[in-house]
Amino acid sequence: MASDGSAKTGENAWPFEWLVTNDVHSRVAAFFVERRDEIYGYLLSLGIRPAEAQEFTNDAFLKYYVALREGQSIHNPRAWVYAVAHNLALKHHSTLSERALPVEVFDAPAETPESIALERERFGQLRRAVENLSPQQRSCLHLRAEGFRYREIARILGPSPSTVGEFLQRAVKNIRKAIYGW
Amino acid sequence: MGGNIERHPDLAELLDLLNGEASGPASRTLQRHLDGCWHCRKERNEMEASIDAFVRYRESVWLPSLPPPPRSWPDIGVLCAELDQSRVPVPARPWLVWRAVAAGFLAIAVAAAIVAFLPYGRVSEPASKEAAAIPAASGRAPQGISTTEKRTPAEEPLSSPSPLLVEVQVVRALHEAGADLGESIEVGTIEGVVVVNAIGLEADRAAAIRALVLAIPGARFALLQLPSVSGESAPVTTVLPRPILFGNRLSSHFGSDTGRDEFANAVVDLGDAITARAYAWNKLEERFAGVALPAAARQSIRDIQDTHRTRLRERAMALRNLLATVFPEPPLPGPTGRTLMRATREFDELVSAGFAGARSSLTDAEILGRLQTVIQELSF
Repeated sequence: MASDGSAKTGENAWPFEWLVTNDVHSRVAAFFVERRDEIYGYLLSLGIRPAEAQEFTNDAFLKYYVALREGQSIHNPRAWVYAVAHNLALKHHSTLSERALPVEVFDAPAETPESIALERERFGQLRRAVENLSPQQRSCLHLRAEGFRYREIARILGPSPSTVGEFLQRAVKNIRKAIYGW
Repeated sequence: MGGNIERHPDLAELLDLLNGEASGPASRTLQRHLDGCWHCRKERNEMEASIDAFVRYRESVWLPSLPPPPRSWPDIGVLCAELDQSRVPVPARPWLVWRAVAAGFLAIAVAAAIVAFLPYGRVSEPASKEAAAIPAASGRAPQGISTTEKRTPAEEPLSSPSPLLVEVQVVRALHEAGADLGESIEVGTIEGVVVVNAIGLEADRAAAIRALVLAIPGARFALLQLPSVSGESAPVTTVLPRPILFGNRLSSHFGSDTGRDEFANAVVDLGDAITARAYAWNKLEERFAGVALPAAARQSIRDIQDTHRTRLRERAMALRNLLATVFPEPPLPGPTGRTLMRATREFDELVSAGFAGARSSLTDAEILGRLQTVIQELSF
Protein backbone atom coordinates (compact mmCIF):
# COMPACT_ATOMS: atom_id res chain seq x y z
CA MET A 1 0.00 0.00 0.00
CA ALA A 2 1.30 3.46 -0.85
CA SER A 3 2.35 5.65 2.00
CA ASP A 4 -0.45 8.09 1.28
CA GLY A 5 -2.94 5.28 1.54
CA SER A 6 -3.79 5.22 -2.16
CA ALA A 7 -4.35 1.78 -3.55
CA LYS A 8 -2.62 2.11 -6.86
CA THR A 9 1.06 3.01 -6.79
CA GLY A 10 1.66 3.09 -10.53
CA GLU A 11 0.55 1.65 -13.84
CA ASN A 12 -0.01 -2.11 -13.38
CA ALA A 13 1.53 -1.94 -9.96
CA TRP A 14 -1.15 -3.08 -7.54
CA PRO A 15 0.19 -3.90 -4.08
CA PHE A 16 -0.50 -7.46 -3.03
CA GLU A 17 -2.40 -6.46 0.11
CA TRP A 18 -4.73 -4.23 -1.88
CA LEU A 19 -5.35 -6.98 -4.42
CA VAL A 20 -6.25 -9.46 -1.67
CA THR A 21 -8.51 -6.95 0.08
CA ASN A 22 -10.14 -5.92 -3.15
CA ASP A 23 -10.76 -9.57 -4.00
CA VAL A 24 -12.45 -10.10 -0.64
CA HIS A 25 -14.55 -6.96 -1.20
CA SER A 26 -15.66 -8.32 -4.56
CA ARG A 27 -16.45 -11.76 -3.18
CA VAL A 28 -18.45 -10.37 -0.27
CA ALA A 29 -20.24 -7.89 -2.55
CA ALA A 30 -21.21 -10.65 -4.99
CA PHE A 31 -22.28 -12.93 -2.15
CA PHE A 32 -24.31 -10.10 -0.62
CA VAL A 33 -26.19 -9.42 -3.86
CA GLU A 34 -26.84 -13.14 -4.28
CA ARG A 35 -28.07 -13.91 -0.77
CA ARG A 36 -29.28 -10.71 0.95
CA ASP A 37 -32.94 -11.14 0.01
CA GLU A 38 -33.20 -14.65 1.39
CA ILE A 39 -31.49 -13.65 4.66
CA TYR A 40 -33.83 -10.66 4.92
CA GLY A 41 -36.81 -12.94 4.26
CA TYR A 42 -35.62 -15.42 6.86
CA LEU A 43 -35.39 -12.66 9.48
CA LEU A 44 -38.90 -11.53 8.58
CA SER A 45 -40.07 -15.11 9.11
CA LEU A 46 -38.80 -14.79 12.68
CA GLY A 47 -41.10 -11.81 13.22
CA ILE A 48 -38.34 -9.20 12.96
CA ARG A 49 -39.53 -5.85 11.62
CA PRO A 50 -38.41 -4.94 8.10
CA ALA A 51 -36.11 -2.08 9.10
CA GLU A 52 -34.33 -4.21 11.69
CA ALA A 53 -34.25 -7.22 9.38
CA GLN A 54 -32.49 -5.13 6.80
CA GLU A 55 -29.96 -3.83 9.32
CA PHE A 56 -29.25 -7.31 10.67
CA THR A 57 -28.82 -8.58 7.11
CA ASN A 58 -26.26 -5.86 6.35
CA ASP A 59 -24.47 -6.53 9.62
CA ALA A 60 -24.32 -10.28 9.04
CA PHE A 61 -22.54 -9.76 5.72
CA LEU A 62 -20.21 -7.16 7.23
CA LYS A 63 -19.30 -9.64 9.95
CA TYR A 64 -18.65 -12.19 7.23
CA TYR A 65 -16.30 -9.71 5.59
CA VAL A 66 -14.51 -9.06 8.89
CA ALA A 67 -14.14 -12.80 9.45
CA LEU A 68 -12.61 -13.25 6.01
CA ARG A 69 -10.36 -10.25 6.51
CA GLU A 70 -9.12 -11.76 9.75
CA GLY A 71 -8.27 -14.94 7.91
CA GLN A 72 -11.04 -17.19 9.23
CA SER A 73 -11.78 -20.22 7.11
CA ILE A 74 -15.51 -20.48 6.47
CA HIS A 75 -16.51 -23.65 4.64
CA ASN A 76 -20.22 -22.94 4.36
CA PRO A 77 -20.62 -19.15 4.01
CA ARG A 78 -24.36 -19.33 3.46
CA ALA A 79 -25.03 -21.23 6.69
CA TRP A 80 -22.49 -19.01 8.47
CA VAL A 81 -24.31 -15.81 7.48
CA TYR A 82 -27.67 -17.33 8.39
CA ALA A 83 -26.29 -18.23 11.82
CA VAL A 84 -24.93 -14.73 12.38
CA ALA A 85 -28.18 -13.12 11.23
CA HIS A 86 -30.17 -15.46 13.48
CA ASN A 87 -27.95 -14.62 16.46
CA LEU A 88 -28.23 -10.90 15.80
CA ALA A 89 -32.00 -11.26 15.78
CA LEU A 90 -31.90 -13.29 19.00
CA LYS A 91 -29.59 -10.80 20.65
CA HIS A 92 -31.92 -7.91 19.98
CA HIS A 93 -35.12 -9.82 20.62
CA SER A 94 -34.44 -12.23 23.45
CA THR A 95 -37.71 -13.99 22.75
CA LEU A 96 -38.54 -14.02 19.09
CA SER A 97 -42.09 -13.26 18.12
CA GLU A 98 -44.54 -16.06 18.69
CA ARG A 99 -46.49 -14.79 15.73
CA ALA A 100 -45.27 -15.30 12.23
CA LEU A 101 -45.30 -12.35 9.92
CA PRO A 102 -48.96 -11.94 8.94
CA VAL A 103 -49.66 -12.57 5.31
CA GLU A 104 -52.04 -10.34 3.45
CA VAL A 105 -55.04 -11.60 1.53
CA PHE A 106 -53.77 -13.22 -1.60
CA ASP A 107 -54.85 -14.51 -4.95
CA ALA A 108 -54.00 -18.17 -5.17
CA PRO A 109 -52.26 -19.30 -8.33
CA ALA A 110 -54.89 -21.60 -9.78
CA GLU A 111 -56.99 -21.71 -12.91
CA THR A 112 -60.71 -22.47 -12.54
CA PRO A 113 -62.99 -20.68 -10.05
CA GLU A 114 -63.44 -23.95 -8.12
CA SER A 115 -59.72 -24.61 -7.92
CA ILE A 116 -59.11 -20.98 -6.94
CA ALA A 117 -61.58 -21.33 -4.08
CA LEU A 118 -60.04 -24.63 -3.00
CA GLU A 119 -56.54 -23.27 -3.23
CA ARG A 120 -57.46 -20.17 -1.24
CA GLU A 121 -59.02 -22.32 1.44
CA ARG A 122 -56.03 -24.60 1.58
CA PHE A 123 -53.59 -21.71 1.71
CA GLY A 124 -55.67 -20.09 4.45
CA GLN A 125 -55.43 -23.29 6.48
CA LEU A 126 -51.72 -23.49 5.84
CA ARG A 127 -51.19 -19.88 6.85
CA ARG A 128 -52.96 -20.48 10.16
CA ALA A 129 -51.03 -23.71 10.71
CA VAL A 130 -47.68 -21.99 10.08
CA GLU A 131 -48.62 -19.03 12.30
CA ASN A 132 -49.42 -21.41 15.12
CA LEU A 133 -46.05 -23.17 14.99
CA SER A 134 -43.48 -22.37 17.66
CA PRO A 135 -40.68 -20.03 16.55
CA GLN A 136 -38.22 -22.96 16.52
CA GLN A 137 -40.50 -25.13 14.42
CA ARG A 138 -41.09 -22.27 12.02
CA SER A 139 -37.37 -21.51 11.72
CA CYS A 140 -36.59 -25.17 11.03
CA LEU A 141 -39.32 -25.35 8.42
CA HIS A 142 -38.14 -22.26 6.55
CA LEU A 143 -34.50 -23.29 6.73
CA ARG A 144 -35.33 -26.78 5.46
CA ALA A 145 -37.31 -25.18 2.64
CA GLU A 146 -34.18 -23.17 1.83
CA GLY A 147 -32.42 -26.49 1.33
CA PHE A 148 -30.44 -26.78 4.55
CA ARG A 149 -29.79 -30.25 5.98
CA TYR A 150 -30.49 -31.09 9.63
CA ARG A 151 -26.84 -30.65 10.57
CA GLU A 152 -26.68 -27.20 8.97
CA ILE A 153 -29.93 -26.11 10.60
CA ALA A 154 -28.54 -27.30 13.91
CA ARG A 155 -25.45 -25.15 13.40
CA ILE A 156 -27.58 -22.12 12.59
CA LEU A 157 -30.11 -22.48 15.40
CA GLY A 158 -28.10 -24.20 18.10
CA PRO A 159 -29.88 -27.47 19.02
CA SER A 160 -28.75 -30.96 18.01
CA PRO A 161 -29.62 -32.41 14.59
CA SER A 162 -32.00 -34.86 16.22
CA THR A 163 -33.83 -31.98 17.92
CA VAL A 164 -34.08 -30.29 14.53
CA GLY A 165 -35.67 -33.49 13.24
CA GLU A 166 -38.09 -33.40 16.13
CA PHE A 167 -39.05 -29.75 15.45
CA LEU A 168 -39.56 -30.52 11.78
CA GLN A 169 -41.63 -33.59 12.49
CA ARG A 170 -43.97 -31.57 14.74
CA ALA A 171 -44.18 -28.80 12.18
CA VAL A 172 -45.04 -31.16 9.33
CA LYS A 173 -47.53 -32.95 11.58
CA ASN A 174 -49.32 -29.65 12.26
CA ILE A 175 -49.38 -28.81 8.57
CA ARG A 176 -50.72 -32.24 7.73
CA LYS A 177 -53.42 -31.77 10.35
CA ALA A 178 -54.38 -28.48 8.70
CA ILE A 179 -54.68 -30.17 5.33
CA TYR A 180 -56.09 -33.60 6.16
CA GLY A 181 -57.69 -32.87 9.51
CA TRP A 182 -55.70 -35.48 11.44
CA MET B 1 -46.84 -55.48 7.21
CA GLY B 2 -43.52 -56.15 5.55
CA GLY B 3 -41.29 -58.75 7.05
CA ASN B 4 -38.09 -56.74 7.41
CA ILE B 5 -39.12 -54.48 10.24
CA GLU B 6 -40.83 -55.52 13.45
CA ARG B 7 -42.86 -52.34 13.89
CA HIS B 8 -44.29 -49.47 11.86
CA PRO B 9 -41.83 -46.59 11.67
CA ASP B 10 -42.86 -43.43 13.47
CA LEU B 11 -43.39 -40.08 11.75
CA ALA B 12 -39.91 -38.85 12.62
CA GLU B 13 -38.34 -41.84 10.86
CA LEU B 14 -40.55 -41.34 7.82
CA LEU B 15 -39.67 -37.67 7.70
CA ASP B 16 -35.96 -38.45 8.02
CA LEU B 17 -36.34 -40.77 5.06
CA LEU B 18 -38.17 -38.10 3.04
CA ASN B 19 -35.51 -35.55 3.94
CA GLY B 20 -32.67 -37.84 2.95
CA GLU B 21 -31.45 -37.84 6.56
CA ALA B 22 -31.80 -41.60 7.09
CA SER B 23 -28.86 -43.61 5.85
CA GLY B 24 -27.24 -47.02 5.97
CA PRO B 25 -28.96 -50.32 6.76
CA ALA B 26 -31.72 -48.62 8.75
CA SER B 27 -32.70 -46.63 5.69
CA ARG B 28 -32.81 -49.73 3.49
CA THR B 29 -34.85 -51.62 6.08
CA LEU B 30 -37.28 -48.72 6.29
CA GLN B 31 -37.59 -48.54 2.52
CA ARG B 32 -38.31 -52.27 2.31
CA HIS B 33 -40.96 -51.88 4.99
CA LEU B 34 -42.61 -49.11 3.01
CA ASP B 35 -42.61 -51.24 -0.10
CA GLY B 36 -44.74 -53.78 1.68
CA CYS B 37 -46.86 -51.67 4.06
CA TRP B 38 -49.84 -49.76 2.61
CA HIS B 39 -50.50 -47.97 5.89
CA CYS B 40 -46.99 -46.55 6.18
CA ARG B 41 -46.93 -45.67 2.52
CA LYS B 42 -50.09 -43.64 3.02
CA GLU B 43 -48.48 -41.90 6.01
CA ARG B 44 -45.39 -41.13 3.98
CA ASN B 45 -47.40 -39.86 1.02
CA GLU B 46 -49.46 -37.58 3.24
CA MET B 47 -46.32 -36.14 4.79
CA GLU B 48 -44.84 -35.63 1.37
CA ALA B 49 -48.04 -33.92 0.19
CA SER B 50 -47.99 -31.71 3.31
CA ILE B 51 -44.42 -30.67 2.58
CA ASP B 52 -45.29 -30.02 -1.06
CA ALA B 53 -48.25 -27.89 0.02
CA PHE B 54 -46.08 -25.89 2.41
CA VAL B 55 -43.42 -25.30 -0.25
CA ARG B 56 -46.10 -24.24 -2.73
CA TYR B 57 -47.68 -21.90 -0.19
CA ARG B 58 -44.28 -20.49 0.78
CA GLU B 59 -43.17 -19.84 -2.77
CA SER B 60 -46.40 -18.61 -4.29
CA VAL B 61 -47.96 -16.76 -1.37
CA TRP B 62 -45.68 -16.16 1.59
CA LEU B 63 -42.47 -15.06 -0.12
CA PRO B 64 -44.20 -12.69 -2.59
CA SER B 65 -46.15 -11.12 0.28
CA LEU B 66 -43.05 -10.14 2.26
CA PRO B 67 -42.58 -6.38 2.52
CA PRO B 68 -39.59 -5.10 0.57
CA PRO B 69 -36.66 -3.68 2.52
CA PRO B 70 -37.58 -0.18 3.70
CA ARG B 71 -34.35 1.30 2.33
CA SER B 72 -32.38 0.54 -0.77
CA TRP B 73 -29.60 -2.01 -0.20
CA PRO B 74 -26.24 -0.40 0.48
CA ASP B 75 -23.12 -0.97 -1.56
CA ILE B 76 -21.53 -3.51 0.75
CA GLY B 77 -18.16 -3.00 -0.91
CA VAL B 78 -18.19 0.63 0.23
CA LEU B 79 -19.12 -0.40 3.77
CA CYS B 80 -16.29 -2.95 3.75
CA ALA B 81 -13.89 -0.23 2.63
CA GLU B 82 -15.14 2.01 5.44
CA LEU B 83 -14.49 -0.83 7.88
CA ASP B 84 -10.98 -1.17 6.50
CA GLN B 85 -10.34 2.49 7.07
CA SER B 86 -11.64 2.43 10.61
CA ARG B 87 -10.08 -0.97 11.32
CA VAL B 88 -12.87 -1.59 13.74
CA PRO B 89 -13.78 -5.28 13.87
CA VAL B 90 -17.52 -4.65 14.03
CA PRO B 91 -19.70 -2.25 12.04
CA ALA B 92 -18.67 1.20 13.19
CA ARG B 93 -21.81 3.07 12.28
CA PRO B 94 -22.74 5.28 15.23
CA TRP B 95 -26.47 4.60 15.11
CA LEU B 96 -25.78 0.89 15.49
CA VAL B 97 -23.64 1.60 18.53
CA TRP B 98 -26.41 3.73 19.94
CA ARG B 99 -28.96 1.06 19.15
CA ALA B 100 -26.82 -1.52 20.89
CA VAL B 101 -26.39 0.70 23.95
CA ALA B 102 -30.10 1.46 24.09
CA ALA B 103 -31.00 -2.20 23.56
CA GLY B 104 -28.58 -3.15 26.30
CA PHE B 105 -30.12 -0.72 28.74
CA LEU B 106 -33.61 -1.86 27.78
CA ALA B 107 -32.59 -5.48 28.29
CA ILE B 108 -31.24 -4.59 31.72
CA ALA B 109 -34.48 -2.81 32.53
CA VAL B 110 -36.60 -5.74 31.41
CA ALA B 111 -34.37 -8.24 33.21
CA ALA B 112 -34.56 -6.21 36.39
CA ALA B 113 -38.32 -6.01 36.04
CA ILE B 114 -38.57 -9.79 35.58
CA VAL B 115 -36.43 -10.40 38.64
CA ALA B 116 -38.57 -8.00 40.64
CA PHE B 117 -41.72 -9.94 39.76
CA LEU B 118 -40.40 -13.38 40.63
CA PRO B 119 -41.94 -14.70 43.83
CA TYR B 120 -38.48 -15.30 45.22
CA GLY B 121 -37.25 -11.98 43.87
CA ARG B 122 -33.68 -11.21 44.79
CA VAL B 123 -33.99 -7.50 44.20
CA SER B 124 -35.80 -5.71 46.96
CA GLU B 125 -38.27 -3.00 46.08
CA PRO B 126 -36.81 0.45 46.68
CA ALA B 127 -38.70 2.26 49.40
CA SER B 128 -38.42 5.55 47.65
CA LYS B 129 -37.06 7.22 44.60
CA GLU B 130 -33.96 8.14 46.55
CA ALA B 131 -33.43 4.49 47.46
CA ALA B 132 -33.37 3.65 43.77
CA ALA B 133 -30.31 5.82 43.36
CA ILE B 134 -28.14 3.93 45.86
CA PRO B 135 -24.59 4.20 44.56
CA ALA B 136 -22.85 1.20 43.12
CA ALA B 137 -20.54 1.02 46.11
CA SER B 138 -23.39 -0.27 48.25
CA GLY B 139 -23.65 -3.32 46.04
CA ARG B 140 -27.39 -3.01 45.60
CA ALA B 141 -28.34 -0.77 42.75
CA PRO B 142 -25.55 0.11 40.37
CA GLN B 143 -26.03 2.89 37.89
CA GLY B 144 -27.92 1.92 34.80
CA ILE B 145 -30.16 -0.54 36.61
CA SER B 146 -33.84 0.14 36.45
CA THR B 147 -36.15 0.40 39.37
CA THR B 148 -39.57 -1.12 39.01
CA GLU B 149 -42.39 0.25 41.05
CA LYS B 150 -45.65 -1.42 41.86
CA ARG B 151 -48.53 -0.85 44.20
CA THR B 152 -48.36 -1.95 47.80
CA PRO B 153 -50.48 -5.05 48.62
CA ALA B 154 -53.11 -2.82 50.24
CA GLU B 155 -53.44 -0.89 47.02
CA GLU B 156 -53.83 -3.94 44.80
CA PRO B 157 -57.38 -4.61 43.60
CA LEU B 158 -59.00 -7.83 44.79
CA SER B 159 -59.39 -9.28 41.32
CA SER B 160 -56.68 -8.72 38.74
CA PRO B 161 -57.90 -7.09 35.53
CA SER B 162 -57.00 -8.63 32.17
CA PRO B 163 -53.45 -7.63 31.17
CA LEU B 164 -54.67 -6.80 27.69
CA LEU B 165 -57.25 -4.34 29.00
CA VAL B 166 -54.69 -2.88 31.39
CA GLU B 167 -52.37 -2.44 28.43
CA VAL B 168 -55.08 -0.61 26.49
CA GLN B 169 -55.66 1.70 29.47
CA VAL B 170 -51.94 2.33 29.76
CA VAL B 171 -51.64 3.05 26.04
CA ARG B 172 -54.52 5.50 26.28
CA ALA B 173 -53.06 7.22 29.35
CA LEU B 174 -49.66 7.56 27.68
CA HIS B 175 -51.33 8.92 24.58
CA GLU B 176 -53.26 11.51 26.57
CA ALA B 177 -50.00 12.57 28.20
CA GLY B 178 -48.35 12.87 24.79
CA ALA B 179 -45.93 10.13 25.78
CA ASP B 180 -46.38 8.04 22.64
CA LEU B 181 -44.55 10.33 20.25
CA GLY B 182 -40.96 9.27 20.31
CA GLU B 183 -39.96 9.27 23.97
CA SER B 184 -38.09 6.20 25.21
CA ILE B 185 -41.16 4.62 26.73
CA GLU B 186 -42.18 1.05 25.93
CA VAL B 187 -45.20 -0.90 27.12
CA GLY B 188 -44.80 -4.64 27.56
CA THR B 189 -46.30 -7.57 29.42
CA ILE B 190 -44.07 -9.68 31.63
CA GLU B 191 -45.56 -12.80 33.14
CA GLY B 192 -49.05 -11.31 32.91
CA VAL B 193 -48.09 -7.94 34.37
CA VAL B 194 -48.18 -4.81 32.24
CA VAL B 195 -44.94 -2.89 32.63
CA VAL B 196 -44.10 0.55 31.32
CA ASN B 197 -40.35 0.81 30.76
CA ALA B 198 -38.97 4.31 30.51
CA ILE B 199 -35.37 5.16 29.77
CA GLY B 200 -33.52 8.30 30.72
CA LEU B 201 -36.51 10.60 31.25
CA GLU B 202 -36.11 13.91 33.01
CA ALA B 203 -37.10 13.65 36.68
CA ASP B 204 -40.29 15.69 36.31
CA ARG B 205 -41.40 13.82 33.24
CA ALA B 206 -40.61 10.46 34.82
CA ALA B 207 -42.62 11.42 37.90
CA ALA B 208 -45.60 12.43 35.77
CA ILE B 209 -45.52 9.22 33.72
CA ARG B 210 -45.04 7.14 36.86
CA ALA B 211 -48.08 8.75 38.50
CA LEU B 212 -50.37 8.11 35.58
CA VAL B 213 -49.15 4.52 35.16
CA LEU B 214 -49.50 3.63 38.83
CA ALA B 215 -53.00 5.08 38.82
CA ILE B 216 -54.02 2.17 36.61
CA PRO B 217 -54.65 -1.03 38.59
CA GLY B 218 -52.39 -3.84 37.41
CA ALA B 219 -49.80 -1.59 35.73
CA ARG B 220 -46.22 -1.12 36.86
CA PHE B 221 -43.56 1.36 36.04
CA ALA B 222 -39.85 0.76 35.51
CA LEU B 223 -37.46 3.66 35.12
CA LEU B 224 -33.98 3.09 33.80
CA GLN B 225 -31.69 5.72 35.23
CA LEU B 226 -28.89 6.30 32.81
CA PRO B 227 -25.38 6.59 34.22
CA SER B 228 -24.40 10.15 34.98
CA VAL B 229 -22.35 11.75 32.26
CA SER B 230 -18.72 11.98 33.28
CA GLY B 231 -15.89 12.87 30.95
CA GLU B 232 -14.82 10.54 28.22
CA SER B 233 -17.18 7.68 29.07
CA ALA B 234 -20.22 9.59 27.86
CA PRO B 235 -20.97 9.00 24.17
CA VAL B 236 -21.50 12.24 22.32
CA THR B 237 -23.54 12.65 19.17
CA THR B 238 -21.42 14.22 16.48
CA VAL B 239 -23.16 16.57 14.09
CA LEU B 240 -21.14 17.28 11.00
CA PRO B 241 -21.31 20.91 9.86
CA ARG B 242 -22.69 20.12 6.41
CA PRO B 243 -24.54 22.69 4.35
CA ILE B 244 -28.09 21.72 3.43
CA LEU B 245 -28.74 20.89 -0.18
CA PHE B 246 -31.26 23.63 -0.90
CA GLY B 247 -29.34 26.26 1.05
CA ASN B 248 -28.45 28.58 -1.80
CA ARG B 249 -31.88 28.39 -3.36
CA LEU B 250 -33.55 29.09 -0.03
CA SER B 251 -31.19 31.93 0.83
CA SER B 252 -31.85 33.58 -2.48
CA HIS B 253 -35.61 33.03 -2.15
CA PHE B 254 -35.80 34.51 1.34
CA GLY B 255 -33.04 37.02 0.78
CA SER B 256 -31.16 36.00 3.92
CA ASP B 257 -29.57 33.06 5.68
CA THR B 258 -31.92 33.63 8.60
CA GLY B 259 -34.94 33.06 6.36
CA ARG B 260 -33.29 29.95 4.95
CA ASP B 261 -32.63 28.57 8.45
CA GLU B 262 -36.13 29.30 9.67
CA PHE B 263 -37.62 27.58 6.66
CA ALA B 264 -35.33 24.53 7.01
CA ASN B 265 -36.08 24.28 10.73
CA ALA B 266 -39.81 24.44 10.08
CA VAL B 267 -39.52 21.62 7.51
CA VAL B 268 -37.47 19.47 9.86
CA ASP B 269 -39.86 20.12 12.78
CA LEU B 270 -42.86 19.18 10.66
CA GLY B 271 -40.93 16.15 9.44
CA ASP B 272 -40.27 15.02 13.01
CA ALA B 273 -43.92 15.48 13.92
CA ILE B 274 -45.12 13.48 10.91
CA THR B 275 -42.64 10.67 11.52
CA ALA B 276 -43.58 10.43 15.19
CA ARG B 277 -47.29 10.23 14.36
CA ALA B 278 -46.75 7.60 11.69
CA TYR B 279 -44.63 5.44 13.97
CA ALA B 280 -47.12 5.80 16.84
CA TRP B 281 -49.99 4.83 14.53
CA ASN B 282 -48.11 1.85 13.17
CA LYS B 283 -47.07 0.69 16.62
CA LEU B 284 -50.71 0.40 17.66
CA GLU B 285 -51.50 -1.37 14.42
CA GLU B 286 -48.75 -3.92 14.95
CA ARG B 287 -49.69 -4.50 18.59
CA PHE B 288 -53.46 -4.68 18.44
CA ALA B 289 -54.41 -5.67 14.88
CA GLY B 290 -55.97 -9.13 15.03
CA VAL B 291 -56.04 -9.13 18.84
CA ALA B 292 -59.48 -9.90 20.30
CA LEU B 293 -60.55 -6.85 22.32
CA PRO B 294 -63.86 -5.79 23.86
CA ALA B 295 -65.68 -3.22 21.73
CA ALA B 296 -64.89 -0.30 24.05
CA ALA B 297 -61.18 -1.12 24.16
CA ARG B 298 -61.09 -1.59 20.41
CA GLN B 299 -62.79 1.77 19.97
CA SER B 300 -60.29 3.35 22.33
CA ILE B 301 -57.39 2.14 20.19
CA ARG B 302 -59.19 3.28 17.04
CA ASP B 303 -59.71 6.74 18.55
CA ILE B 304 -56.01 7.05 19.30
CA GLN B 305 -55.11 5.91 15.80
CA ASP B 306 -57.59 8.38 14.32
CA THR B 307 -55.98 11.19 16.31
CA HIS B 308 -52.55 10.22 15.02
CA ARG B 309 -53.82 10.03 11.47
CA THR B 310 -55.61 13.37 11.67
CA ARG B 311 -52.54 15.10 13.11
CA LEU B 312 -50.34 13.38 10.54
CA ARG B 313 -52.56 14.55 7.72
CA GLU B 314 -52.66 18.12 9.08
CA ARG B 315 -48.91 18.27 9.34
CA ALA B 316 -48.38 16.69 5.95
CA MET B 317 -50.66 19.28 4.40
CA ALA B 318 -48.89 22.03 6.30
CA LEU B 319 -45.57 20.76 5.01
CA ARG B 320 -46.90 20.50 1.50
CA ASN B 321 -48.12 24.09 1.65
CA LEU B 322 -44.86 25.23 3.19
CA LEU B 323 -42.76 23.58 0.50
CA ALA B 324 -45.05 24.93 -2.22
CA THR B 325 -44.22 28.49 -1.15
CA VAL B 326 -40.71 27.92 -2.45
CA PHE B 327 -40.87 24.91 -4.73
CA PRO B 328 -43.80 24.85 -7.15
CA GLU B 329 -45.35 21.39 -7.32
CA PRO B 330 -45.59 19.51 -10.60
CA PRO B 331 -48.93 17.78 -11.28
CA LEU B 332 -48.84 14.32 -9.67
CA PRO B 333 -51.28 11.42 -9.43
CA GLY B 334 -53.41 11.23 -6.29
CA PRO B 335 -52.10 9.61 -3.10
CA THR B 336 -52.70 5.94 -2.48
CA GLY B 337 -52.54 6.00 1.29
CA ARG B 338 -51.71 2.27 1.38
CA THR B 339 -47.97 2.45 1.77
CA LEU B 340 -47.89 4.70 4.79
CA MET B 341 -44.85 3.32 6.55
CA ARG B 342 -42.77 2.88 3.43
CA ALA B 343 -43.60 6.43 2.43
CA THR B 344 -42.82 7.63 5.95
CA ARG B 345 -39.39 6.04 5.96
CA GLU B 346 -38.60 7.45 2.56
CA PHE B 347 -39.93 10.79 3.68
CA ASP B 348 -37.73 10.70 6.78
CA GLU B 349 -34.64 9.97 4.68
CA LEU B 350 -35.47 12.70 2.18
CA VAL B 351 -36.10 15.38 4.81
CA SER B 352 -32.90 14.39 6.61
CA ALA B 353 -30.94 14.54 3.36
CA GLY B 354 -32.49 17.74 2.07
CA PHE B 355 -32.83 19.78 5.23
CA ALA B 356 -30.82 18.24 8.03
CA GLY B 357 -27.48 17.57 6.40
CA ALA B 358 -27.68 13.74 6.26
CA ARG B 359 -25.67 12.02 3.56
CA SER B 360 -27.47 10.90 0.44
CA SER B 361 -26.55 9.64 -2.98
CA LEU B 362 -29.48 11.54 -4.54
CA THR B 363 -29.23 14.88 -6.32
CA ASP B 364 -31.08 17.97 -5.15
CA ALA B 365 -33.65 17.59 -7.90
CA GLU B 366 -34.21 13.90 -7.12
CA ILE B 367 -34.71 14.64 -3.42
CA LEU B 368 -37.18 17.42 -4.13
CA GLY B 369 -39.14 15.41 -6.69
CA ARG B 370 -39.39 12.35 -4.44
CA LEU B 371 -40.20 14.47 -1.40
CA GLN B 372 -43.13 16.09 -3.14
CA THR B 373 -44.41 12.71 -4.29
CA VAL B 374 -44.07 11.08 -0.92
CA ILE B 375 -45.81 13.95 0.84
CA GLN B 376 -48.79 13.39 -1.39
CA GLU B 377 -48.73 9.72 -0.44
CA LEU B 378 -48.68 10.70 3.22
CA SER B 379 -51.68 12.99 2.74
CA PHE B 380 -54.03 10.06 2.33
